[in-house]
Amino acid sequence: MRPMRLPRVVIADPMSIFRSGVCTLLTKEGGFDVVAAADLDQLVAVVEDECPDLALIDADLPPAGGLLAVEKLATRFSTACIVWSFAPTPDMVLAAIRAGAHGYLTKSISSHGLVSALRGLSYGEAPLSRSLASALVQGVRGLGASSPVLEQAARLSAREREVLELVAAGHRNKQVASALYISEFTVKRHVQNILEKLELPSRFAAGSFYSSAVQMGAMTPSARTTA
Amino acid sequence: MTSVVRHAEALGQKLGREPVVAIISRTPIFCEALVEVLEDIAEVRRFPADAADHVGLLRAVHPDAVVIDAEDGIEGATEFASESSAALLHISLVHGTLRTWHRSGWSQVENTGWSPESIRNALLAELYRLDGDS
Repeated sequence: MRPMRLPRVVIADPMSIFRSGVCTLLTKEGGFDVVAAADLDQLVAVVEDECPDLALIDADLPPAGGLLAVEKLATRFSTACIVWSFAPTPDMVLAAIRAGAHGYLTKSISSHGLVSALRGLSYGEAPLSRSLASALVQGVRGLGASSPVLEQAARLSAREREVLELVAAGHRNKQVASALYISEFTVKRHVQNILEKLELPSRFAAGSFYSSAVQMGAMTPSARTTA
Repeated sequence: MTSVVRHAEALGQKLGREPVVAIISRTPIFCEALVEVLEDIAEVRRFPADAADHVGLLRAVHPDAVVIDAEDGIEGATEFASESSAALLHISLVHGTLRTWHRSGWSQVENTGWSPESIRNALLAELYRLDGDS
Protein backbone atom coordinates (compact mmCIF):
# COMPACT_ATOMS: atom_id res chain seq x y z
CA MET A 1 0.00 0.00 0.00
CA ARG A 2 1.38 3.41 -0.96
CA PRO A 3 1.91 5.71 2.02
CA MET A 4 -0.30 8.78 1.98
CA ARG A 5 1.68 11.92 1.08
CA LEU A 6 1.44 14.91 3.41
CA PRO A 7 0.04 18.09 1.85
CA ARG A 8 3.04 20.01 0.49
CA VAL A 9 2.97 23.77 1.01
CA VAL A 10 5.18 26.39 -0.61
CA ILE A 11 5.44 29.72 1.18
CA ALA A 12 6.41 32.43 -1.31
CA ASP A 13 7.32 35.64 0.47
CA PRO A 14 10.13 38.16 -0.02
CA MET A 15 10.52 38.61 3.75
CA SER A 16 12.60 35.87 5.27
CA ILE A 17 10.90 36.39 8.64
CA PHE A 18 7.55 35.29 7.16
CA ARG A 19 9.06 32.31 5.35
CA SER A 20 10.68 31.23 8.62
CA GLY A 21 7.53 31.91 10.64
CA VAL A 22 5.33 29.78 8.41
CA CYS A 23 7.94 26.99 8.15
CA THR A 24 8.38 26.95 11.94
CA LEU A 25 4.65 26.97 12.57
CA LEU A 26 3.79 24.21 10.09
CA THR A 27 6.73 22.05 11.12
CA LYS A 28 5.71 22.35 14.79
CA GLU A 29 2.10 21.66 13.91
CA GLY A 30 3.01 18.63 11.80
CA GLY A 31 1.09 17.20 8.90
CA PHE A 32 2.65 19.41 6.20
CA ASP A 33 5.75 19.32 4.02
CA VAL A 34 6.97 22.89 3.72
CA VAL A 35 9.19 24.54 1.13
CA ALA A 36 9.95 28.23 0.62
CA ALA A 37 10.52 30.69 -2.23
CA ALA A 38 11.54 34.35 -2.13
CA ASP A 39 10.42 35.48 -5.60
CA LEU A 40 8.50 34.39 -8.67
CA ASP A 41 11.41 32.55 -10.31
CA GLN A 42 12.05 30.52 -7.17
CA LEU A 43 8.32 29.84 -6.78
CA VAL A 44 7.98 28.52 -10.32
CA ALA A 45 11.11 26.38 -9.88
CA VAL A 46 9.77 24.95 -6.61
CA VAL A 47 6.35 24.24 -8.13
CA GLU A 48 7.96 22.52 -11.12
CA ASP A 49 10.26 20.40 -8.93
CA GLU A 50 8.17 19.67 -5.87
CA CYS A 51 4.58 19.83 -7.17
CA PRO A 52 3.20 21.41 -3.98
CA ASP A 53 -0.51 21.11 -3.28
CA LEU A 54 -0.79 24.61 -1.82
CA ALA A 55 0.99 27.92 -2.30
CA LEU A 56 0.80 30.81 0.16
CA ILE A 57 1.85 33.83 -1.90
CA ASP A 58 2.67 37.35 -0.71
CA ALA A 59 0.76 40.03 -2.62
CA ASP A 60 4.03 41.92 -3.14
CA LEU A 61 6.04 38.93 -4.33
CA PRO A 62 8.94 40.22 -6.47
CA PRO A 63 9.35 41.11 -9.20
CA ALA A 64 5.80 42.02 -10.24
CA GLY A 65 3.45 41.09 -7.40
CA GLY A 66 1.57 38.04 -6.20
CA LEU A 67 -1.28 38.28 -8.70
CA LEU A 68 1.04 37.67 -11.61
CA ALA A 69 2.38 34.65 -9.74
CA VAL A 70 -1.16 33.34 -9.16
CA GLU A 71 -2.03 33.80 -12.85
CA LYS A 72 1.13 32.02 -13.88
CA LEU A 73 0.55 29.07 -11.55
CA ALA A 74 -3.18 28.87 -12.28
CA THR A 75 -2.60 28.42 -16.00
CA ARG A 76 0.21 25.87 -15.74
CA PHE A 77 -0.13 23.92 -12.51
CA SER A 78 -2.72 22.39 -10.20
CA THR A 79 -1.28 24.02 -7.07
CA ALA A 80 -4.02 25.84 -5.12
CA CYS A 81 -2.97 29.40 -4.33
CA ILE A 82 -3.77 31.65 -1.40
CA VAL A 83 -2.64 35.28 -1.48
CA TRP A 84 -1.82 37.11 1.74
CA SER A 85 -0.93 40.68 2.58
CA PHE A 86 -1.23 43.42 5.17
CA ALA A 87 -4.49 45.41 5.09
CA PRO A 88 -5.90 44.26 1.74
CA THR A 89 -8.63 46.33 0.08
CA PRO A 90 -11.80 44.76 -1.42
CA ASP A 91 -10.33 45.39 -4.89
CA MET A 92 -7.15 43.52 -4.04
CA VAL A 93 -9.11 40.51 -2.76
CA LEU A 94 -11.37 40.51 -5.79
CA ALA A 95 -8.46 40.83 -8.21
CA ALA A 96 -6.68 37.90 -6.54
CA ILE A 97 -9.75 35.69 -6.76
CA ARG A 98 -10.20 36.65 -10.40
CA ALA A 99 -6.54 35.88 -11.09
CA GLY A 100 -7.19 32.34 -9.87
CA ALA A 101 -6.48 32.47 -6.12
CA HIS A 102 -8.45 30.03 -3.95
CA GLY A 103 -8.44 32.37 -0.97
CA TYR A 104 -7.03 35.50 0.61
CA LEU A 105 -5.66 35.95 4.14
CA THR A 106 -4.31 38.88 6.11
CA LYS A 107 -0.78 38.65 7.43
CA SER A 108 -2.06 39.35 10.93
CA ILE A 109 -3.86 35.98 10.92
CA SER A 110 -3.39 33.87 14.07
CA SER A 111 -1.16 30.82 13.94
CA HIS A 112 -4.18 28.58 14.52
CA GLY A 113 -6.11 30.45 11.80
CA LEU A 114 -3.36 29.93 9.26
CA VAL A 115 -3.06 26.22 9.99
CA SER A 116 -6.85 25.81 9.74
CA ALA A 117 -6.94 27.77 6.48
CA LEU A 118 -4.23 25.61 4.92
CA ARG A 119 -5.83 22.38 6.12
CA GLY A 120 -9.20 23.61 4.84
CA LEU A 121 -7.71 24.40 1.45
CA SER A 122 -6.27 20.92 1.17
CA TYR A 123 -9.87 19.65 1.65
CA GLY A 124 -11.17 21.94 -1.06
CA GLU A 125 -12.33 24.88 1.08
CA ALA A 126 -11.74 28.49 0.02
CA PRO A 127 -10.07 30.24 2.95
CA LEU A 128 -10.90 33.87 3.49
CA SER A 129 -10.25 35.84 6.69
CA ARG A 130 -13.57 36.81 8.27
CA SER A 131 -12.89 40.52 7.78
CA LEU A 132 -12.11 39.89 4.11
CA ALA A 133 -15.36 38.06 3.42
CA SER A 134 -17.28 41.31 3.83
CA ALA A 135 -14.63 43.13 1.81
CA LEU A 136 -15.14 40.63 -0.98
CA VAL A 137 -18.90 41.13 -0.86
CA GLN A 138 -18.35 44.90 -1.09
CA GLY A 139 -16.04 44.36 -4.01
CA VAL A 140 -18.58 42.16 -5.81
CA ARG A 141 -21.32 44.73 -5.14
CA GLY A 142 -19.13 47.39 -6.69
CA LEU A 143 -18.68 45.32 -9.84
CA GLY A 144 -21.53 47.14 -11.56
CA ALA A 145 -19.54 50.32 -11.29
CA SER A 146 -16.32 48.63 -12.24
CA SER A 147 -14.08 50.17 -14.85
CA PRO A 148 -10.64 49.56 -16.27
CA VAL A 149 -9.29 52.06 -13.74
CA LEU A 150 -10.58 50.01 -10.80
CA GLU A 151 -9.30 46.78 -12.25
CA GLN A 152 -5.89 48.17 -13.10
CA ALA A 153 -5.52 49.81 -9.68
CA ALA A 154 -6.24 46.47 -8.03
CA ARG A 155 -3.24 44.96 -9.81
CA LEU A 156 -0.83 47.23 -7.95
CA SER A 157 0.87 45.97 -4.81
CA ALA A 158 0.69 47.97 -1.58
CA ARG A 159 4.24 49.28 -2.13
CA GLU A 160 3.52 50.21 -5.75
CA ARG A 161 0.49 52.18 -4.57
CA GLU A 162 2.69 54.12 -2.16
CA VAL A 163 5.23 54.85 -4.88
CA LEU A 164 2.51 55.87 -7.35
CA GLU A 165 0.99 58.26 -4.83
CA LEU A 166 4.32 60.02 -4.31
CA VAL A 167 5.10 60.07 -8.03
CA ALA A 168 1.68 61.59 -8.68
CA ALA A 169 2.45 64.25 -6.06
CA GLY A 170 5.45 65.24 -8.18
CA HIS A 171 8.19 63.60 -6.12
CA ARG A 172 11.37 62.54 -7.87
CA ASN A 173 12.78 59.03 -7.40
CA LYS A 174 15.30 60.23 -4.80
CA GLN A 175 12.54 61.85 -2.73
CA VAL A 176 10.33 58.76 -3.03
CA ALA A 177 13.26 56.60 -1.89
CA SER A 178 13.84 58.79 1.12
CA ALA A 179 10.14 58.92 2.07
CA LEU A 180 9.75 55.14 1.92
CA TYR A 181 13.20 54.19 3.31
CA ILE A 182 14.11 52.22 0.20
CA SER A 183 16.85 52.64 -2.39
CA GLU A 184 16.52 54.79 -5.50
CA PHE A 185 17.11 51.67 -7.56
CA THR A 186 14.13 49.97 -5.91
CA VAL A 187 11.98 53.02 -6.62
CA LYS A 188 12.99 52.90 -10.30
CA ARG A 189 12.01 49.23 -10.43
CA HIS A 190 8.65 49.97 -8.81
CA VAL A 191 7.96 52.82 -11.26
CA GLN A 192 8.80 50.53 -14.16
CA ASN A 193 6.44 47.85 -12.81
CA ILE A 194 3.68 50.43 -12.26
CA LEU A 195 3.94 51.70 -15.84
CA GLU A 196 3.91 48.13 -17.16
CA LYS A 197 0.94 47.04 -15.06
CA LEU A 198 -1.07 50.14 -15.89
CA GLU A 199 0.09 50.07 -19.51
CA LEU A 200 1.07 53.72 -19.33
CA PRO A 201 3.86 55.48 -21.20
CA SER A 202 5.14 57.96 -18.60
CA ARG A 203 5.21 59.19 -14.99
CA PHE A 204 2.94 62.02 -16.03
CA ALA A 205 0.34 59.56 -17.32
CA ALA A 206 0.70 57.61 -14.07
CA GLY A 207 -0.06 60.82 -12.15
CA SER A 208 -3.27 61.31 -14.18
CA PHE A 209 -4.22 57.68 -13.60
CA TYR A 210 -3.72 58.16 -9.86
CA SER A 211 -6.06 61.20 -9.81
CA SER A 212 -8.77 59.21 -11.62
CA ALA A 213 -8.30 56.22 -9.30
CA VAL A 214 -8.66 58.44 -6.23
CA GLN A 215 -11.78 60.07 -7.66
CA MET A 216 -13.31 56.66 -8.30
CA GLY A 217 -12.42 55.42 -4.82
CA ALA A 218 -10.04 52.79 -6.19
CA MET A 219 -7.13 54.34 -4.28
CA THR A 220 -6.99 56.29 -1.04
CA PRO A 221 -4.45 59.06 -0.44
CA SER A 222 -2.31 58.48 2.65
CA ALA A 223 -1.30 60.96 5.34
CA ARG A 224 2.00 61.36 3.47
CA THR A 225 0.47 63.45 0.71
CA THR A 226 -2.64 64.78 2.42
CA ALA A 227 -0.81 66.27 5.43
CA MET B 1 27.75 26.43 20.27
CA THR B 2 27.30 29.49 18.08
CA SER B 3 28.96 32.80 18.89
CA VAL B 4 25.50 34.36 19.32
CA VAL B 5 24.61 31.85 22.02
CA ARG B 6 28.03 32.38 23.69
CA HIS B 7 27.54 36.17 23.70
CA ALA B 8 24.03 35.80 25.04
CA GLU B 9 25.28 33.49 27.78
CA ALA B 10 27.96 36.01 28.72
CA LEU B 11 25.26 38.64 28.98
CA GLY B 12 23.13 36.25 31.04
CA GLN B 13 26.05 35.68 33.43
CA LYS B 14 26.36 39.44 33.95
CA LEU B 15 22.65 39.72 34.60
CA GLY B 16 22.66 36.65 36.82
CA ARG B 17 19.80 35.19 34.77
CA GLU B 18 18.63 34.72 31.19
CA PRO B 19 17.73 38.02 29.51
CA VAL B 20 13.95 38.50 29.28
CA VAL B 21 12.53 39.68 25.95
CA ALA B 22 8.94 40.85 25.55
CA ILE B 23 7.39 40.73 22.08
CA ILE B 24 4.33 42.89 21.49
CA SER B 25 2.93 41.73 18.21
CA ARG B 26 -0.04 42.03 15.93
CA THR B 27 1.48 39.49 13.55
CA PRO B 28 1.58 36.04 15.16
CA ILE B 29 3.51 34.48 12.28
CA PHE B 30 6.32 37.04 12.72
CA CYS B 31 6.25 36.21 16.41
CA GLU B 32 6.63 32.47 15.69
CA ALA B 33 9.79 33.11 13.69
CA LEU B 34 11.30 35.43 16.25
CA VAL B 35 10.54 33.20 19.24
CA GLU B 36 12.23 30.31 17.41
CA VAL B 37 15.58 32.18 17.23
CA LEU B 38 15.33 33.82 20.65
CA GLU B 39 14.36 30.77 22.69
CA ASP B 40 17.94 29.54 23.05
CA ILE B 41 19.26 32.82 24.36
CA ALA B 42 16.42 34.45 26.28
CA GLU B 43 13.20 33.98 28.15
CA VAL B 44 10.54 35.21 25.74
CA ARG B 45 7.15 36.62 26.71
CA ARG B 46 4.54 37.35 24.04
CA PHE B 47 1.79 39.96 24.25
CA PRO B 48 -0.88 40.78 21.69
CA ALA B 49 -0.72 44.30 20.27
CA ASP B 50 -4.36 44.90 21.18
CA ALA B 51 -3.77 44.28 24.91
CA ALA B 52 -5.27 47.03 27.02
CA ASP B 53 -2.34 48.17 29.15
CA HIS B 54 1.10 47.64 27.61
CA VAL B 55 2.97 49.68 30.21
CA GLY B 56 1.35 47.71 33.02
CA LEU B 57 2.20 44.39 31.36
CA LEU B 58 5.80 45.45 30.75
CA ARG B 59 6.21 46.74 34.30
CA ALA B 60 4.94 43.40 35.60
CA VAL B 61 7.34 41.34 33.45
CA HIS B 62 10.20 43.86 33.53
CA PRO B 63 11.93 42.64 30.35
CA ASP B 64 15.48 43.59 29.39
CA ALA B 65 14.32 44.18 25.83
CA VAL B 66 11.05 44.84 24.04
CA VAL B 67 10.33 44.07 20.40
CA ILE B 68 7.18 45.59 18.95
CA ASP B 69 5.71 45.22 15.46
CA ALA B 70 2.60 47.38 15.94
CA GLU B 71 1.92 51.09 16.11
CA ASP B 72 -0.67 50.64 18.89
CA GLY B 73 1.67 49.77 21.71
CA ILE B 74 4.57 52.06 20.86
CA GLU B 75 3.65 54.79 23.29
CA GLY B 76 3.50 52.36 26.20
CA ALA B 77 6.68 50.59 25.10
CA THR B 78 8.68 53.84 24.86
CA GLU B 79 7.36 54.93 28.25
CA PHE B 80 8.53 51.66 29.74
CA ALA B 81 11.90 51.72 27.92
CA SER B 82 12.55 55.28 29.09
CA GLU B 83 11.86 54.52 32.75
CA SER B 84 13.59 51.13 32.83
CA SER B 85 16.46 51.51 30.32
CA ALA B 86 15.26 48.38 28.52
CA ALA B 87 16.26 47.98 24.88
CA LEU B 88 13.41 48.69 22.47
CA LEU B 89 13.12 47.68 18.81
CA HIS B 90 10.24 48.75 16.60
CA ILE B 91 9.75 46.76 13.45
CA SER B 92 7.35 47.93 10.78
CA LEU B 93 6.67 44.90 8.64
CA VAL B 94 4.48 46.95 6.32
CA HIS B 95 7.12 49.58 5.59
CA GLY B 96 10.13 47.30 6.01
CA THR B 97 11.82 49.45 8.65
CA LEU B 98 13.59 48.63 11.88
CA ARG B 99 14.43 51.27 14.46
CA THR B 100 15.72 51.39 18.01
CA TRP B 101 14.70 53.67 20.84
CA HIS B 102 17.26 55.63 22.81
CA ARG B 103 16.51 58.37 25.27
CA SER B 104 17.08 60.98 22.57
CA GLY B 105 14.59 59.34 20.20
CA TRP B 106 14.44 56.73 17.47
CA SER B 107 17.36 55.62 15.28
CA GLN B 108 16.81 53.84 12.03
CA VAL B 109 18.72 50.58 11.67
CA GLU B 110 20.01 49.59 8.23
CA ASN B 111 17.68 47.09 6.54
CA THR B 112 19.07 43.79 7.67
CA GLY B 113 17.48 41.41 5.19
CA TRP B 114 14.51 40.68 7.41
CA SER B 115 15.64 37.31 8.61
CA PRO B 116 14.76 36.31 12.17
CA GLU B 117 18.49 36.00 12.85
CA SER B 118 19.23 39.55 11.73
CA ILE B 119 16.51 40.91 14.02
CA ARG B 120 17.84 38.80 16.88
CA ASN B 121 21.33 40.18 16.25
CA ALA B 122 20.04 43.76 16.23
CA LEU B 123 18.34 43.03 19.53
CA LEU B 124 21.50 41.55 21.04
CA ALA B 125 23.51 44.56 19.83
CA GLU B 126 21.08 46.82 21.68
CA LEU B 127 21.30 44.72 24.85
CA TYR B 128 25.11 44.94 24.71
CA ARG B 129 25.02 48.66 24.08
CA LEU B 130 22.80 49.22 27.11
CA ASP B 131 24.92 46.85 29.18
CA GLY B 132 27.98 48.91 28.18
CA ASP B 133 26.20 52.13 29.14
CA SER B 134 25.29 50.88 32.61
